Amino acid sequence: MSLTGLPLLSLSGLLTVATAALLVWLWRRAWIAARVGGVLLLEALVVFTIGLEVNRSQQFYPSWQALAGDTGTTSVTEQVHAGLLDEHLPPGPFRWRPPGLAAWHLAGPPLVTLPADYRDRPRVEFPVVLALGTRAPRTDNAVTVTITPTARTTAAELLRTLPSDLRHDLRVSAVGWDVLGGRALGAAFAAGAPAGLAQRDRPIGDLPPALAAPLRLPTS
Amino acid sequence: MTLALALVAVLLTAVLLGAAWNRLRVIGRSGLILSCVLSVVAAAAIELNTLTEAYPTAGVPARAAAAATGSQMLTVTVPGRASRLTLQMYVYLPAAYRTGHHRFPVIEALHGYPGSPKTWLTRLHVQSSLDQEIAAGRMAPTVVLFPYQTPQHLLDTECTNLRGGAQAETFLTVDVPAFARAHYRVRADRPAWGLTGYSAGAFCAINLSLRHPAEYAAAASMSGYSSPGITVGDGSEKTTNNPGWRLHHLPQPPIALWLGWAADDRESARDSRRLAAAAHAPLSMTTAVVAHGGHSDAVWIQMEPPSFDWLSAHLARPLP
Repeated sequence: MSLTGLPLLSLSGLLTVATAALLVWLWRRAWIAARVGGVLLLEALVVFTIGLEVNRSQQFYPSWQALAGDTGTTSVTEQVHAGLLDEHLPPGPFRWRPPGLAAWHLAGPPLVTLPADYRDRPRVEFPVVLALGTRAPRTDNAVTVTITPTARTTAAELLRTLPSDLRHDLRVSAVGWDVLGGRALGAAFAAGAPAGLAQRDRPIGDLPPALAAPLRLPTS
Repeated sequence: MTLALALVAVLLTAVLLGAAWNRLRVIGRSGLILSCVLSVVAAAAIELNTLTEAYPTAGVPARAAAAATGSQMLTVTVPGRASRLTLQMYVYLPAAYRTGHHRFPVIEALHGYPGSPKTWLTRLHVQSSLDQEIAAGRMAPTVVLFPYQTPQHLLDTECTNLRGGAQAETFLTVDVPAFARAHYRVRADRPAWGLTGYSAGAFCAINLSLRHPAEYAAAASMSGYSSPGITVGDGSEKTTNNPGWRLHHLPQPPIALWLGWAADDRESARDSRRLAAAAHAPLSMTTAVVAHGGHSDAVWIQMEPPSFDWLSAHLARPLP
């Protein structure tokens, strides 16, 4: 029987009325213990019925399962996937040659600088600073990718493959990228990026923290 | 404890009614029946208050203040200069606050109605939830504020400035941040400030973040609504204090929102889905759904860690 259904509420209401009637009718003839039991039963039924009605209208607990505190859902710890390059990282800054490189029409392969603790924290994803034709500031908190665009470089082509290529090759976060410089290209990149991926020219201190993979719930 | 006393009273009055009935006149009998009713009402009210923490008993649970290491939960009074409200607030300081000199990001966590910030502490176990997420590295050390949102327990402000009444919005968006900046090592800048809340507090988090995008970068809503469900006094519950209206009729601000709800929580599920569908860039929208649990603690306990993880990833880091 459903917790918020009419059948249970009706049954509870009828039982309450019946108990009250029986209690009044038998009161003079009943032993003290029976009277006390009857009063307590009636009180419990009244509270139960009112509770059912309030819950029926407000839907706090739509089911018995909900009342028992069972959400039928588990949060999943996402996995941080090791980057393809993680195993053989050169000691210093290196030139990055991902599959999408040719289509970006850059002056040369991007220069990637990793935080000093990148290797020591294999379960963590790092934020990204993407410097477009400008010098990236020295930071130990982010993976810095410096690219030198040419006239033929388009934001659309960069957006199509650069974020996914970078997440494939290195442990970087999917939100909160800091896009530095690039004038029109930088503006187009930030405007065309999915909401939340990129912000332009923020101070390095405003980058999100490097974090382990979050707990996630199913999306709608 | 109080509930046990009330239940003893229920039992005693029932026994008296049964045993003394024959020896009493009308007045005595009526008095006994009345005391029976009163004792039952009292027991029910006490249990309801335990469920909602609408009238919390003073003080923070024992584990909070005493320990010499680990996180702390403080109780403070915020004198609201701008709002003229002086209200209590709980302050979570992460374990890392004791060491080093970092300035931390801040989350304001708002409670439901009827209720109080105590619910976060007692029923939603927020301190251990935060400790756990931070220790696991899924969340950066963060200062979390749990302010009262109303000067009277049963006055539902929905975190708005009531016309001719409590200026809850000003208290939460001006006085509380000013107090935190003055008293704690927190970051003062917008990218490091976020909001969260459950039920009415979730509505508050969404509404305040949309209304104050220059103060908050991200907000999480656990079982929230698209409208306040009260009368603000100036009709703004239909417009500027209505996130559903705001998303459709005003330019959307560059903030990040996380909306979580239980699929069987009809009203919140409908409202949250509507809000999620209306969102577009530069506002970024993330959704999370638990299968069932209705509008209850179990749902919010489940949503707490994922929503805090998400918030941390959308706020600026602690700064040395």
